[in-house]
Amino acid sequence: MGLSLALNTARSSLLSSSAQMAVVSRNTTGATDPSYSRKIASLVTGGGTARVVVGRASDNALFFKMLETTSSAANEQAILEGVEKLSKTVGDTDLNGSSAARIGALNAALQEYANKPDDANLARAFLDRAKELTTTLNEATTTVQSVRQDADTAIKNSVDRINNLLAQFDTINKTVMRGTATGADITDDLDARDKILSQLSEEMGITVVTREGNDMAIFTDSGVPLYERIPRKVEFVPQSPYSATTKGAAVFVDGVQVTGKTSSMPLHSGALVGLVKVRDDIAVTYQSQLDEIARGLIETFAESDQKAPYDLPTLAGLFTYTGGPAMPPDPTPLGLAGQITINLRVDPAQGGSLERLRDGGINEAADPTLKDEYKYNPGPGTNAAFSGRLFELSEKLGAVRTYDPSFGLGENATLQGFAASSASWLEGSRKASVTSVDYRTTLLSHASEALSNATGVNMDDETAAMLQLEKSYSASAKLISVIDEMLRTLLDAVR
Amino acid sequence: MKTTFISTPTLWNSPRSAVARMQSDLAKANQEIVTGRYSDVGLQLGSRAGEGISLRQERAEIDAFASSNATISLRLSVTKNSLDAIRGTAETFLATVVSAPDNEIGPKLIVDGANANLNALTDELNRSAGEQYIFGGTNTRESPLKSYDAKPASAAKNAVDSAFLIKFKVPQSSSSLSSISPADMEGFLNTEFPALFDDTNWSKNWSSASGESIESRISSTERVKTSVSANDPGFRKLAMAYTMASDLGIEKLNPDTREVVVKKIADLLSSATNDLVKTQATLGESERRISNAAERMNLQKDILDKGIGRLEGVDPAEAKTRVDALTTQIQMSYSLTSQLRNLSLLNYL
Repeated sequence: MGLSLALNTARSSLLSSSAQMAVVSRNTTGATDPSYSRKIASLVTGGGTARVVVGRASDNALFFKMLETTSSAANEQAILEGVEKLSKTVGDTDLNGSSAARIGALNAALQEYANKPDDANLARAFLDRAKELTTTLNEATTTVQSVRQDADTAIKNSVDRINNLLAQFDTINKTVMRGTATGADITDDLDARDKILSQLSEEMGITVVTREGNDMAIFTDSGVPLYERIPRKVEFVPQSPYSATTKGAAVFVDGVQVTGKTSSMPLHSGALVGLVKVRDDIAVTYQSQLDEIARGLIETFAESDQKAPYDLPTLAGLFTYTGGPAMPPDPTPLGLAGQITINLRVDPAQGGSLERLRDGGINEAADPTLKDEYKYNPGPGTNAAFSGRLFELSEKLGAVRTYDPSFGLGENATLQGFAASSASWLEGSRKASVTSVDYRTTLLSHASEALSNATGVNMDDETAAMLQLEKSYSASAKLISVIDEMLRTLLDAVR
Repeated sequence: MKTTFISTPTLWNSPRSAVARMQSDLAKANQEIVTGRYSDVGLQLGSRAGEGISLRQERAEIDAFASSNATISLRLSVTKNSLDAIRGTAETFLATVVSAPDNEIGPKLIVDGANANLNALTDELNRSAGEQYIFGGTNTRESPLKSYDAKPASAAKNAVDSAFLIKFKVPQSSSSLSSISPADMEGFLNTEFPALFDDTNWSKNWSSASGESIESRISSTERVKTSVSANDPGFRKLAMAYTMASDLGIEKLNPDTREVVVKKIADLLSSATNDLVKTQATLGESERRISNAAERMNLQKDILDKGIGRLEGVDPAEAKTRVDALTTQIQMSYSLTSQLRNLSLLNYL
């Protein structure tokens, strides 16, 4: 009969209005959650009934774009953090704390000393500048290695996080597949799954493939599977402590090496890429530049045999290192900048004498019958204003040396020039990094905004929908009471 | 119907991220006004950061030169005064020797004058300034000359005494000196006596100075000699002349022999004076070069300072303009944020 049909329809209308109201309140709750996507209640009417199907606003293209930009931004951010820590070793040019500035100060002190070699105060000042220089180089080495250590630890944390996320993804994916098969409302689970994907994309670049039954497979952006039916293992062996000779380990996904020069399927973006670049590329290059500076200092201040037949080897003078007094071998040993130190024979605090700076004789021949083989001061007496050795040192300090062109700092430069170029290189990297991070972060925020606009909740929209639903609910309720009246009239007529 | 859609989070977050950025720019601009340099010089200069460091390295070197040049100038002016004194004494003594009367007073004047002058020469050459013996050459920690008539007898006196004894078979105090012939004396004064003042014997008996004078670097390109050694020929000739006059017993010689000696003394004195004049000229040249270098380096200092300023400096006026603009922007963004609060349908229900 018409009336009972109307009653049934009104009843299902009430139910669907309530269901739609539930969707509105869900949307209102998740309005400010960035990973919440708008639920859309679509009303399906037919055959006298109304049903609500809950759908989800999504835009795959925008979502994948956001994943991509997240990875690039994380990559550049990791590099920037590493480079900023390294650039503390250069500091503000006004503070004169960089190794280049210290070499300049050493040079100035040497000049003053050479012009008054009998002044013990100037000798003391020169020795102090030399100590400051070795301290700066040693501390810079410590900083560089700690940056590498931090990067290594961060890689370990990142890999742990990835493994966690993959395990969570496994659970959610199975829930989604089950829900799709039974036809349940899986929209919240889909949101959760997407959230895991965006967290994962921070650590490494990923590509996602949706399969039958809403199954998802995750691959790295170089094609190595991360999740395919089961989560794959991501492995990394951390190392501690870090020294200049430590080689960092690579990250393995499902047994395939994904970081490092020997990798056949290397990652392209993500924090892992940035961290590995800092640990194995930037920090190592900077360390070898510092080592080259240390080498230059040791060679410049070395003492050579002053007596015929000039057959004794050149030995380390003012600056020596743990492998001294022999000259450092070629190629420069890693971490030389952390080993360079002031020769004991020159430091009064350690039983040496300041005069050896001016007179030579820091080294003595192994054969005890040979005396004064390395002495530069010919006398007579103390010859306290002998300046020949000091001027020679000053000239050598300002001489042009050759360097390995693979540093990218040019082949010929003075020691001071090389040190300044090294500082330039570091600050230049930092500037480029900052610009890069700015750019990528802007791209990321644009992509996020676009995604949010496509899939986010607008509170005013929901409020307006709520008003509409209120009215339709009261209309349905009114309908029911009217039909009820009509039935009562009918039944009264029959009584 | 799908129209342009904006989600609530985007609407509310848009002023927030912009304000954060503007606030950090404001802090940077404030710092730049105060210091007059970029707040993060390394970031601003990038790969030109090395230039700033190099400029400062050069600046430090120039400061070092300025400081040493002050010490060197002091030494040069003290040396100049001493040389003037020594030369003046020598010229006065030359006049005395040439015009000495022939009776007993003449030789006595010469002997007394020579003694006094030899001691004065020793004192002058042993002068020190700034903790250096300025006539020691590079051996500045040892006093160059020992006093000739010290007790016990100095090596120099012993050498002269033994040379005299070997040649004339009698010491200078003997009374038979009048029998020495002019030719003999001439021979002594031309061979054995000068040998006592040659390089080896001078360094052995008289002076512990080094023959090398102090070389100084007065600018990054110039090295000049900035001291005089007591081993200079002029001083040796003076020492020879004064010793000849005081210790060869000329008051006891016969007039002809004395004549020979006096002539030799006069020759030595004028030759020595010439040498001293040459030495003073060299020192004057060094002084001139030092003052030229100082002028040049002052100019260089200014240029370097300007270079550093250009590289790293910020115009405070421009920074202040930036601060004003940013402050206005931040205020506008604050007012927009508060207005957004009222833009909600709920307020109108």
